[in-house]
Amino acid sequence: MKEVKETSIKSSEDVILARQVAREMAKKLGFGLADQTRITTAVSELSRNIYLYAGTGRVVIKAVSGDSGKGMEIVAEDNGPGIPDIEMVMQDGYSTSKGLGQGLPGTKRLVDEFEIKSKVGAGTIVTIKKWLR
Amino acid sequence: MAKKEVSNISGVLVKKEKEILDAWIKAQADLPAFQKGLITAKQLEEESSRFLKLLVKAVAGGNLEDITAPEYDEINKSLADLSTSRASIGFSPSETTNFILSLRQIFIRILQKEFDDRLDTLVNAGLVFADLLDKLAIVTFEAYVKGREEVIREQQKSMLELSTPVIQVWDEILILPLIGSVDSARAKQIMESLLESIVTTKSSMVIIDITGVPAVDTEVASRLLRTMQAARLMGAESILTGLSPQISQTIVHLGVDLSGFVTRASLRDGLELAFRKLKLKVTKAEG
Repeated sequence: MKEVKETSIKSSEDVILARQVAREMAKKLGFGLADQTRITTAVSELSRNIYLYAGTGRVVIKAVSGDSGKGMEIVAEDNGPGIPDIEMVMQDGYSTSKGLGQGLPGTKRLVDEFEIKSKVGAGTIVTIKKWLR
Repeated sequence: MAKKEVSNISGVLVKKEKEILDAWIKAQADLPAFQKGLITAKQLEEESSRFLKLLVKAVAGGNLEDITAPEYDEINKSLADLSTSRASIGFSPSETTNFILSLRQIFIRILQKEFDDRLDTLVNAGLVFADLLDKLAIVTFEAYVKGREEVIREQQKSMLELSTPVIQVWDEILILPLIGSVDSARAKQIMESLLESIVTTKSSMVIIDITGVPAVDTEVASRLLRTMQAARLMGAESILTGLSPQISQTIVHLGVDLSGFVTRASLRDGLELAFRKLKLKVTKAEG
C-alpha cells in the first residue's frame, strides 16, 4: 500500500486532525484496537509537541513495509528552536512546560522504533514506527 | 484587440442592458436551482438587475480584461456576497456559478445580432466576453468555497462550545461525563465549572467519566490529574471511570501515574463505589 498523509500543524485543532488521520490509517492497515490507541496517542504527543514548542510543523503518516512486515511510519517535523539536550528530554519526568514530562519517553514506549534528530535553531524531526504483528 | 472594438463591445452591453436582463432572468428561471424554490422570483430579479447594472458600470470604461482593476471592486464584492448568501441557503457550487455562466449564451446571442455582418468582431467580442464571464465565475466559486468554510468553522466552534454538564446525581455526588477531545480550551472551562459545582452543591464525591474520550495522551492525563488534585484540596474525592482496556494500557505505557486516584472501568462501578463511600444503599422496593 502506498499511502502517505500529511497534516500541517498550525493550531491545537490540527493536533486533533493528525490524530484522526493516524487512527484511520492504523485501522485500515489492520492494527488492533490497542495498537490503534497507542499510535493515535503517540501522534497526539508528537503533534502537540510541534504546536507547543515550534508553533508550526507537519506530521507525515505513511504505510511502510520492511523486514518486520507491514507497518506504519510517522514523521513529525518542525523548524522550531530544536532540543539542546536530547538525553535530558528522553528522561521521565523532565518537562520544559508544565506537562507531565512523559511525552517523549512515553511515546517511545508506545511504539516499536523511535528516532529523534534535533539541531538547535534549526528544528526537530521525530520518526516513529509501529509494526503490524 | 483594437481599443475601438473593445469600446464597441462594452457599448453593446450598455445599450442592450434591458434586453439582456430580461433574457437572463428567463434563462435563470429555467435552471433547477430556481425550480427548487430556494429563492423567489423577486429576489432573482433584484439580484440579476443589480449585478448587470454593476457590470455595465464596470465595463463602461472599456476594461473587459482586468477584473482586479478598481472599477471591478464593487462587482467582485457583490458577487462574493451573493455566493456566500447562496451557499448558506443551500445552493450547490454549480448552481451558484450558473448565475454567471448562464449569462454567457445570452451575451453571445446579443452580440450575434449586433455584429452579424462582421464575423471578426463577433468572434473577438465573443471571446472577450466569455473570458470576462469565466473570470467572474471563478470569483463566485472562490467566494462560495469561502462561504462554505465559514459555515464549517461556525459548526466547529459550536461543537467546541457544546457544554458538558456537571450533573448532580445524588446528594454530594457529581458526575462529569467527558466527551470528545479534552485537550482544547473547552476542557479547561469544563474543569473549572466542575470545581465551582463542588462548592455550590457541597459535594464530596466527583465521578469523572472518560468513556467518550477517544485518546488520552499526557496532556489530557495531566489535565485530569490536576483537576482531581484540585478537587481533593476542596475536600472532594474523585473517581475516574470509563477506562477502556486500550486506554489503560496506553496510560501505563506513557508512564502516567494514576495510582493516587481511585479508578473504575465503568461509570456504573464508579457510582456504586460512591454510594458505598457515602454509606448509601440502593435496594429494591418491596411489593
